[in-house]
Amino acid sequence: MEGLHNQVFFPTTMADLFSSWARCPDAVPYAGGTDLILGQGGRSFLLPRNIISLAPIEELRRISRTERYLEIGAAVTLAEIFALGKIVPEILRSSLSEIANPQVRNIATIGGSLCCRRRRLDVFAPLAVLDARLELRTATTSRWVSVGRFAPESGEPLLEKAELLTRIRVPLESWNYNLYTRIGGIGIPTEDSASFSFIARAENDILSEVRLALAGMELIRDRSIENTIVGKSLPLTRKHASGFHERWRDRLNALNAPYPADLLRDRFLNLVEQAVMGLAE
Amino acid sequence: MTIEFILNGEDVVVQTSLDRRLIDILRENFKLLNAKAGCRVGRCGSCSVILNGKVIPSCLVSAFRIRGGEVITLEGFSLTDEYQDIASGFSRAGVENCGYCDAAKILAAEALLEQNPRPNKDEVLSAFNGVLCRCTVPRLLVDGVLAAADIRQRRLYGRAP
Repeated sequence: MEGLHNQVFFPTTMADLFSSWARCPDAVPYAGGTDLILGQGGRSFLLPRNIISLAPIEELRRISRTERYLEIGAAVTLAEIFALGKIVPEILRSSLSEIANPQVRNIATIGGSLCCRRRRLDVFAPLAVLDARLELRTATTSRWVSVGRFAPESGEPLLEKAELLTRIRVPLESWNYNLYTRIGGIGIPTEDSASFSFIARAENDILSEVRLALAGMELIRDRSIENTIVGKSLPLTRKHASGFHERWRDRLNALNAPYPADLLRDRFLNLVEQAVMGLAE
Repeated sequence: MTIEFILNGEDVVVQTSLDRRLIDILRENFKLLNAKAGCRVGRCGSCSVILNGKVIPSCLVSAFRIRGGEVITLEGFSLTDEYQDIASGFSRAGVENCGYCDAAKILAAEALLEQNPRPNKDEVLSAFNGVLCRCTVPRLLVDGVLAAADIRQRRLYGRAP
């Protein structure tokens, strides 16, 4: 990042975009830009030297819906997704409503929220539990990956050179239980802030699906623990509920890593307890 | 870089570096002073303007992003009927003018009413999340926006629904 600028490209199609990128491989795709300029309080921005503006590309701002999926272009703003109303799964809507403020949500895009290199931003946990899939494109290839694969537990998102996140496909399923909580204060995310998402579905009083994730500096999700209570009758017995909580405690203890730190770990375990006890009552 | 855009209904051209903020362009190049440079990180709302129909913090928008777009500041918005609805509603509820956050309050109200003509109290409070000025108690803001919604409905449809 430098204050000197060489060029800003304004492609209007995906073909234009990849052609510009091929001519200038160090150019940085720029949609809302809220993450790139996060916390820069000075008079002018420190911007990447070369920029590809994604705003003019209609394809990246498209939203479409089928019976089973909601497909969202990567440059769609968080406010536009929220404005779709009840089509959007409740856990994702809860998350969107708590990100920054309405004015910032008019700028920040879903793609930018997923491509942040430093950490997993708030939309990660809901999209992870919804099993959303992401389309990644280069000039010649296209592939779909899960949120968990795109952003492994730690490290930078899985983007190859000159590869762009173009679409987010969110399955439209109904969930009986939704719990979303943002941990930590408002403003710039810190090591102790994270988003917590829990969803569950019951059919004929049998728990058929349970998903739980924490997204902060890393994304934490464990399907084997989720499966320990799938198939159980509702309301859950205290034994099953506390067993689920204990497994998460053991899982975090076994990590033996600096993340999540004690405060966040305790808060997370409290939320796991709150979520699973909601199924036991 | 030369940037052409529409400002308060007029085609304008500005020669500027790309890393300048929209708020500084509006205040320094066009002498439009209603939007204030407050926190410069998108939290206080005092620099709110309408960009391509959406209320945004102009401190978070770099110059190149307004190319070909339409910007409306409070100066431009104050010439519209929609502004009169909000000004009348605020006046009826006793919301005082504030030199610091008028752009934020009025444009946040407009953004809400445009999407949701009959908001409830919680929706009003949520819409003002990005307005940090403490010149007005929240209850008055809620009353002001609800009054503005009522006035707008009467203007548009001749009655409150």
